[in-house]
Amino acid sequence: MRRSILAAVLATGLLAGCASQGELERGEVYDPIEPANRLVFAVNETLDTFILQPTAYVYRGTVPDPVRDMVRNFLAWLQSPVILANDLFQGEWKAAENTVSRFVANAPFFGFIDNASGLGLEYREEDFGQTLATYGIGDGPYIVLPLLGPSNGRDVVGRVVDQFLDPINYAKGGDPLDSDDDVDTFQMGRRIVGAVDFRARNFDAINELKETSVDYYARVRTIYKQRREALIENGTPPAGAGGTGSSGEFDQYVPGGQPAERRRSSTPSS
Amino acid sequence: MMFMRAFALIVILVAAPVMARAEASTPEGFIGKLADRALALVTDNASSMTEKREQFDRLLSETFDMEGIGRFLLGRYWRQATPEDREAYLKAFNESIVYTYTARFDEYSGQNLVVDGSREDGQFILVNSRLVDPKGGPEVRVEWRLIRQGDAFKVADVVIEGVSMSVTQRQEYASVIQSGGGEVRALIKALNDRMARLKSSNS
Repeated sequence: MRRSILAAVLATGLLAGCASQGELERGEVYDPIEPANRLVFAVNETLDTFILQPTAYVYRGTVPDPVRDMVRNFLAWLQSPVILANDLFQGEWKAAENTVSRFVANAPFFGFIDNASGLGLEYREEDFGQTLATYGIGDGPYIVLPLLGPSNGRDVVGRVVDQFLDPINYAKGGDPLDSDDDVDTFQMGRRIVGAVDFRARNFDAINELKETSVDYYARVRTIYKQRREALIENGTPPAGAGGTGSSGEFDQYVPGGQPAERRRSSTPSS
Repeated sequence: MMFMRAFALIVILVAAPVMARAEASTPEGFIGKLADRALALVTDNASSMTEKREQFDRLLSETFDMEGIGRFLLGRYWRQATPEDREAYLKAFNESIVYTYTARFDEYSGQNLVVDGSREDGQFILVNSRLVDPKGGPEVRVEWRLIRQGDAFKVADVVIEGVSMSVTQRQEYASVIQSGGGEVRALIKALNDRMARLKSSNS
């Protein structure tokens, strides 16, 4: 009980932060606790280099492709109730139908084999962070979570709420905030396998992202923001917005061969 | 005779849209052609890495608005930069793009670019396309932001699954410049240092 109150207070604080962002340039990420974030990011990076990356490397090298696909399918299948709940919260009835159909179509093999995608029922991720965004809640401050990585005020709240939406947390009559040993171990294992699978699947892409960057922290920060915006829009930008959520930045674009000075110059910060 | 004429007409009618697509006069055709040229370069096993880099550099300068992109990536810092710094920066930027992308050529595994259509967006034209894996892997959504230059087009941005390459670089560069005390030189140095690092680790 005490923990639920704590969670509620934390949530209110984080969401309040979502409303009060200072002056930001277009596309910039609100990151008021950057030094702390960079520290956590560095720790996560170290863990990635010494634990996650080697594990993912071995996993990719030893477990055959079809088995890894099964693992991923199963993890995605387990996520179905949370996705369904968020489809419903967002009033996305078509998507909800899709989620239910996928769940049923893949149920005979407990989600290990994804027959649904072949039937045109594509996997589509939803979470409560996205639901909050569709209610008009802003990103809030950028937060790098220990182990879990990039997030923001809104998505941290979303993560907590998603725990309440996950029926597995109620297994054996449990309370999502109370730790029940078996349930906790299962959920923990699910998350670890998910992380290894994700790292293995994007092994080269992530390494390249790292190697070719001049500021990896800043690169991940903007990619997180843009990816979340794309997920919130579900790949279909609102009419009239003209492209991706970042397109507003291109108001300032001056094609090559034209003098850049024709724009009103903003005072450079010094 | 009637039959022959009808046949010729059908051939012309059927072939016309195909030719229009292959021509670079439509945004879709431009992207299709760009993809073909890139594919030829990526699958070219005869040329050396240096030759490939030269060819890719030429492809970039012909089809991408490198100056405009370079300027956009610097944002407000462009105005503060001296002409020498601008030149040094554009050179470092161009070199880093050529180097990082040619190094990734061997990752290509048979995907095709399918162009779906285009729409206007202010001074830009947005072209939607998908990278399709014939082996059944997941499709990757790719959106191209083009500007018109005379009769031709140039690419101003590539957006992959909602992540804009130009915006990502712009944010990253801004962060480097800010932590370097607002100096564009800090970025030039970081770009050149990374270049040296990549070159030494790849050779």
